Amino acid sequence: MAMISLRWNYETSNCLVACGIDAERVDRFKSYIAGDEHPMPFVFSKDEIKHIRKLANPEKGFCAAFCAKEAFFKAVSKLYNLSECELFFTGDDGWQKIKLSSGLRKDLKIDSAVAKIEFISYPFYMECLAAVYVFKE
Amino acid sequence: MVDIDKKTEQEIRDLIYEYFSEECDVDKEDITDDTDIIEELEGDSLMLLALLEMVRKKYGLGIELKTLGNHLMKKPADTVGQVVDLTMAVVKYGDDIVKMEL
Repeated sequence: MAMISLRWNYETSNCLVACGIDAERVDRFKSYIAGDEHPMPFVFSKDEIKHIRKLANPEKGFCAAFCAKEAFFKAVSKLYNLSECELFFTGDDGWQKIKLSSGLRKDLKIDSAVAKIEFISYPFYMECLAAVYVFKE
Repeated sequence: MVDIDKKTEQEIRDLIYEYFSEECDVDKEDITDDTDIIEELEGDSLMLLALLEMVRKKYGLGIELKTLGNHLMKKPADTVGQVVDLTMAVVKYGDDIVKMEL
């Protein structure tokens, strides 16, 4: 896996308290695209599914959201329900805001989190890298 | 608590063995209860989450991931046999699994 450009260029006046990273192959999420069923409610919220399925490449959206949830877990080092940490992937590489439930924010005593999402293409597959940064005011 | 009979126990065991065999491209005969999921089958968190989701759907369970995680902190599931035991416990106790001394 090549860690090439997860550079820090996010502007905030908040205090960075934790960070975590994760990577997954995009093709592992292809099976979640089709069908009317809600795939993995353990992991994705209904709103995330609805949003991601409208993207041009939904598998990238599922992969980015999953990586962000895992990276968030690594950052906070505490168990939580993954659907309470939502990433509404925009379709592009770059900084994305993470939506945390108010209960989760209160539980973990944090205010916000952002993810830096990047995709790397290899000859036969594509990989998503996520770095998540957690802030307190 | 839900009582599970021998037939359901065997069904859960078969389901898990077949799942790992397919996902990890390994012959079912080469998998034992002692097979380490990460070291020997190269499994990962996504694979385990997908398995738990499948079990949740099949048996109509409403257990939360956080509950399961808390149980796993006390009793990790590194091998196929431990995942079988965990799945039996999830089907049997649901969200009460954390209170159980398994």
